[in-house]
Amino acid sequence: MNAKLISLSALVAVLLLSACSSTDMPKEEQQNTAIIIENTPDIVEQDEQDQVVETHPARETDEPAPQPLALPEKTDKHLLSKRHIYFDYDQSLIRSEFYPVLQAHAHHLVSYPQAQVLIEGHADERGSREYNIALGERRAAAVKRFFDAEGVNDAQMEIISYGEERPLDNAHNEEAWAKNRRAVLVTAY
Amino acid sequence: MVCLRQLYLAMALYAFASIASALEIEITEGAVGALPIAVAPFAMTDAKVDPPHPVGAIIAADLHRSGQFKILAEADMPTKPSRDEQVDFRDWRALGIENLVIGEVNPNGPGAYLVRFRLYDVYRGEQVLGYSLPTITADLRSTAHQIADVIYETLTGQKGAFDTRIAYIASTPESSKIQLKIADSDGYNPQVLVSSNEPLMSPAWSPDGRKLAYVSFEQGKSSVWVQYVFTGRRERVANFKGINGAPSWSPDGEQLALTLSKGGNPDIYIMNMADGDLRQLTRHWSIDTEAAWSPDGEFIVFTSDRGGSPQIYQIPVGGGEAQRVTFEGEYNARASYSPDGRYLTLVTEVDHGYRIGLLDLQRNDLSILSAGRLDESPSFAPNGGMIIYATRSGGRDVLAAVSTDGRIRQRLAVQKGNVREPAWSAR
Repeated sequence: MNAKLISLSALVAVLLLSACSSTDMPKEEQQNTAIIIENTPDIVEQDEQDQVVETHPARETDEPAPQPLALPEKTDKHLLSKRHIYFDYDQSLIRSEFYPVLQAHAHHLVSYPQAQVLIEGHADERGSREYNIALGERRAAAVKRFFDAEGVNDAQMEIISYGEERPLDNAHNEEAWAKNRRAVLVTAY
Repeated sequence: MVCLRQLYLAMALYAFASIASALEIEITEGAVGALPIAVAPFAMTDAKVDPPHPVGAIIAADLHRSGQFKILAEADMPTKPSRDEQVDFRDWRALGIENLVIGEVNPNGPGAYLVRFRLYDVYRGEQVLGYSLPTITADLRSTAHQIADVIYETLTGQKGAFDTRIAYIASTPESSKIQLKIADSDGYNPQVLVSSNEPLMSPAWSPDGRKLAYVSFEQGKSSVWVQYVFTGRRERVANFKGINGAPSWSPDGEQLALTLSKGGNPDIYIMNMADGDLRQLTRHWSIDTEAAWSPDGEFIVFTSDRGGSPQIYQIPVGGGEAQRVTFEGEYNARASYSPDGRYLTLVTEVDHGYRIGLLDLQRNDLSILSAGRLDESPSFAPNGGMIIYATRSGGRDVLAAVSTDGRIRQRLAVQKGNVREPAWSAR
């Protein structure tokens, strides 16, 4: 129990490194360029290799550990590795097949009140771009409401919509669109 | 129907100076009944060299792109006059040419020129117009577009829109960079205004053509910025919690309509640009977005799914009841008014494709102007004659334009990469 407590309550500091390169525009355009944005955004979805993770051992304590509840650990872990929730066309209704995944994440967030989740909402490329931004936000908000109903603290959740601006699959067919209509749970746990 | 002759002609015209261009314009469908006109090459006065830009060819290409003119190819010209005394009207009458344009480029000090041109009515054998315009090398293309505007207005009775710019979003598959660019209306002189690793969206010109409002995700979430095109100075005007999007300028340039979701879901707000004062215009639990102003500044149209699917609604700018204006089809979005206020152009779903539609507000009649599967972001040319929009072609995102009568279609393609979200400046 102690060892588990130590590993679970380890503080994880995630440093998001920007992978910015210098300007690579053609020469004739450089002189006309007014603004180049190369800053590191506050919140971005990053690949694992872009993260530098520092871990610190927790001090041993007699305080009661936050109890990992209900779900068996194996299932929990498996479900926590799933971070994509898919939606039907022009819909933000969460399909029941995703309830177990969302419940596992909600359960984790309730168990570890210091854990944070960024919920990204996305849309497929069809239709207009700003409407798709709104649709993506509605999807992210649906996931947030689900978590809320499961007892997750509001302060642990943040939502953002990218609309159709960041497709998972760049193809232009039903299969790609189905993958792109999604909410993504960006977590550091 | 594809008109091969016009296509060939467009290619011939562009062979002159396509090296520096990033956008290439190809007429894919041409009109019948266009006005036959000849534009002789503009010679450089008293010099053996050609002018730095082919002024005559630029004018001819502009007129051709409008779809209102049938251009005589240079190779078919009986003579190439550049001065009044060199014109023999009989040569041109024999070819059925109704109007002739000639001109010359006079050196006028270092890097400066005086461009002279004359427009003739060939059948009456008289000069209709004649101007001389001082310019510099950097503005020579712009001067050519101004001449095309004058000729267009004289012969059609409608204002020209050639000496204008388009803004658009560009990206390439090889780079993570997304760029906000502007170019002349014929695709030349592309310039990068903003380059970012995060999404850029929804460029909107101020009515005076000096500012662009746009959406940037550079700070990890959406915010709306206003940038001065000629100085590069910019400011963040909206950075509320949630969505900050869909900027649209009022006709007087003093207010900006925005979509904000700070109240819990997307609604339309109006920001007074002088003091940043914000007023909420729509208040509904559904999605309200993509505001656009009527030319008289009295109304705003927007996209809302309050009726169950995205449709266009109209609301008085001062507030009041929103009225639904689209009833045909399951999906109508991103509407904007024609400069005369009579029409809306919008994205509409037809047979599982997203196409550009034109809604006649007087007759309540929707016509489909484009034939793509994923067409979006339509906007009117400032003279109302053409609609520019984004489409897919050859596996890439490209820009296209269609005349509002649907007769002329053209493609504006970058040499590589993708372009989307075109916006046409008012001047």
